[in-house]
Order: sequence, then C-alpha cells, then structure tokens
Amino acid sequence: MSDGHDARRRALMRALAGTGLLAAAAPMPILGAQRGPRIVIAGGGFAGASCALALRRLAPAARVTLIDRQREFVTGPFCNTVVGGLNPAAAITQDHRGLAAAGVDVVHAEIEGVDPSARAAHLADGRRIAGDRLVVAPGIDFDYDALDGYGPEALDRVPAAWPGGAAALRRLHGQLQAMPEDGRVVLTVPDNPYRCPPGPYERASLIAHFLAEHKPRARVLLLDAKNHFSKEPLFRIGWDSRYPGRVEWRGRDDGARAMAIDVAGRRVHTVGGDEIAADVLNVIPPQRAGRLARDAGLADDAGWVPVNVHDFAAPGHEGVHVLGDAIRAEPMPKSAYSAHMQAQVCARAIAQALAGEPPGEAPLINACYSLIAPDYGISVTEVYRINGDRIAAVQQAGGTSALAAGPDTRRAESEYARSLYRNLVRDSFGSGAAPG
Amino acid sequence: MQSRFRLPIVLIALAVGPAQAQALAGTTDGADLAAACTGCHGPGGHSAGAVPDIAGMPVAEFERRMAAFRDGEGTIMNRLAPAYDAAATAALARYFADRPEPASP
Repeated sequence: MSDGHDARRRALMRALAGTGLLAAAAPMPILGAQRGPRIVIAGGGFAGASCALALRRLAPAARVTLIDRQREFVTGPFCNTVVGGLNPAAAITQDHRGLAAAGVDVVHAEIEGVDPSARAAHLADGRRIAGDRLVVAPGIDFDYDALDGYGPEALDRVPAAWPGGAAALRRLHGQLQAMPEDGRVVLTVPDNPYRCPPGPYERASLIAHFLAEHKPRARVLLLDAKNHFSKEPLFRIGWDSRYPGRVEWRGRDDGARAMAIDVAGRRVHTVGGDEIAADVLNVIPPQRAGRLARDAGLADDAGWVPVNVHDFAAPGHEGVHVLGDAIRAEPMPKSAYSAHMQAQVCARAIAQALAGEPPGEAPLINACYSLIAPDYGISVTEVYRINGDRIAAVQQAGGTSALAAGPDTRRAESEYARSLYRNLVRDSFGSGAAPG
Repeated sequence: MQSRFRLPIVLIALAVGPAQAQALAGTTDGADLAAACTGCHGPGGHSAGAVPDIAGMPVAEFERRMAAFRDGEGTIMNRLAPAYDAAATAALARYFADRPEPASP
C-alpha cells in the first residue's frame, strides 16, 4: 500500500512538473524536502528584470533570484529627455519592487564575479548564490583603452552619461545650462556596436531643442566614427525642419573619429588631425560587454559574448545564459526592447527545458522610437526569425518611419514613444515610473 | 519544356504575394508569439498611454486590424504585420481576446 502511494505520488509529481501547479502544491506534504529548480540572474536592467518576471510567469515552480548592486535603475530609454531638461531623472528611475511583488527573490549586493561552471554568483559580502541555471545580464562597460586621455576620472568634467545614473545625466544637463550663449556642444560617437544605435542622434536633437529655447546662438556638433547611422534620413529631415543650421554631423570620411580627449581643455583630437574645442563635451566611449561576462571568460576577443540564438545560452557553458547589450545578437541592435525580447525567449526556453517540453520558436521584434522634439517622434522596427544558428531579419517586414510623413504622424509617434516606455517598463519590471 | 514547369510556380508565387512568400512558419502558440508584442502593448496587451490596448479585443476585430495594417495602415504596425501569416495572426488574436480586462483602478 505504501509502495502504491509512492508510485502515485511520483506520477503526480511528473504530471505537475513545469505546469505551475507545483508552486501551488508546495506547502503540501507530497513534496517533502524537495524544492523547485533555482535560477540565478546576475543583473537587474531590462534584460535581467524581464527574464525574472517572465520566469515567474512561465516556470512558477522555479525559485528565481535576481542580484544587482543597485536598488535603482536609471533607464537608457528616455535618458536624453533628462539631458535635454524635459524630464527629471526620477521619471526614468525604476526599481525592483515590482519583481519582488511577483515573487522574485531580489538581492541588492555587489557581485564580485560569476562562476559559469558552478552557475553561481559570488557576492562582495562573501555570499555565494548558486542555481540550476545562471543568467548573466551585465550590460556594457566603457572601453577606456580605446580613447587616449579619457577615463573614469574624467566623467565629472567630460560626462559620458550613457546613461550612467541620475547624477551623470543631471551633470550633463547642468553643463548645458551653464554654457555660453553662443557656445558649442560636441558629442563623440563610437563605431558599431554600442548601446542604443540611434541614441547619440536623439541626444543631439534634444540638446538642440534645449539650446533653441535657452541658448539660441549655440550649436551641436557630432563627431562620428561611422559614415552612416541609425534612422539617418529621418534625423536629417528632423534637424533641417526643427533645428536648421544648429546640428552639424561629421563622419569617418571627414576624419571625425575621436582619437584622444583633452579633458582639461575640453578638446577632441580627431583621426583627421583636427583639434576641436567644446564648451560642453559629451564623450560616448567605445564599449564592450560588462565586466561580469568578460571576467568569467564568456566574451570573445572583441569583448562581446557569443550566444546560441535559440535560448541565449553561452556555448560550452551548460546552464548559463547571457542576455542584453553584452551579447552578439546581430542584426538585433543593443536596445532595451531587444533585451526584453531576448529575455522572453530565454525564459521560455528555460521553462520548456525544466518541463521537458520541446522548444518552440516564435518571431522576435525590436521596436525603437527616438524623439527629435517632444512632439516629433520617429521609429525603426524589425521582425526577426531564427534561421539555423543565426538571427535573420524578415525581409518583407520592418523599416523606419515614412520619410514624407506629416506633423500628425510625427506627433503620434512621439506619443507612442512615451506609451512604449511605460509598457516596456511594466512588462520588464512589473511596475514603474513614467516620463512626461 | 522547362518553361511549362516554371509557369505554375511563378503563378503560385504571385498568388501568395510578396507579403506571404517569407511569412513566418513556426509556433502558433499565442503566448509565445505575444512575447514580441507586449514590450509595446504592455503586459497581457494592457497598454498605458497612446499605444492601443489590445487586451480583450474580439478576435474578428484583431484580425480586421491586422489585415488593415498589412494593407499599409498605421505608423508602425504596417511594418510589423506583414511578417505574420494567417495562422500566427489567428493565434495572437485568440491569445489577446482571452486576456482579461484590467482591474478598475
């Protein structure tokens, strides 16, 4: 009789595994001392938070632990509205309380490193948190070696603000407020890949918007390491219509790539031999995967993490997944929407593996709005599918806003941009602040 | 001789149309497909702000709007809808139709 009971219990357990009923059944004695699988997530930005929230929904029997050193997360999306003075930093500052409310164990502590072989995070306070799966979502670090004369000690005088926290964004805005009436703002823009491809051009736009209102004789100069950039025709149309003569762009063929930064003099030395003085200098440095991924040996020689595109697993590291801006997911850009999308795919793959279900494959989307002005939005979107071991853009879909669109469309897209922000934050963090 | 075999293939391609020629095959699981939508439309399709709230939208309405987007309506959905064939659209329509209305604040 006892054997029969055990057999029925085992059969019930198998039937329940991965269905979500295990969590509901957890207090019942049939589970005994056994616990659900544990998933440890290192990093609480869009990628890590989205993955945690999706896992609570898709694998409710699993214990999900998210670790981040920061209680507050200032988003890249809409950070340029803070630089331009349109929003306070608080409007784009999210936290992890919505995750905790959804049942995620949130740990705020400095992560010393992650150990892929043990699927563990080592915390600076000595704790070690190991799981059946480890998800690493470390974001990006600046590659200071790639730019002579520029380093972390320069950030006060020459901000990067990418986005770098509330203080960095406020500092850059404060420098705009304090600059001469006829001054020049200079932004240096790195070569691909980097976080948020259209971001520097949105920033130039919203700085121009601020200058048009407060410093009518001041200008913006972009020094770009590239010859072309995201949404380029749309930005050019927007600059011509809203900020004629105020925004100047120089690219690689103009020799504009920044080679060295004179922090004290706020000057940029370009590859072409020019020495360009700025009243406000914003250096967006070259980037690479966040330290956690590089220190753990997950990155390639160029500093980015290759992944299996079916489940965003790190090849050769069983049970380890890497998400967000740190990874090679071309042609997906390094955007919050991409990070959120990858996290959905990863969470689903983990849930299916835990439940012993076959993986299913669904299309991926990236959607990204930029503001040229508060009432002037533009967008780019793509649909991707998995083609063998690669991500491929679907040919007949995607693209940018219509070049010939009128003011009603531009205004509508600016409203969609604000709405997307609120919805993406809610779908990633469970709740959150919203910019105007 | 060869052309006799080629012609029907061309006709099939024209009949299916360019929007369908590379349409996505794969899962028709509504929840899996919807994961690409909720970043813009919000959790379960419950949108805050100008992006349309699609939670609880009747299936016929969802399919009618997707067809209009495929015909070029909209500011961004006209660029997304062509990637979704009839089966994927129907699965998404059912998924979002089944989402409950948001609780009153």
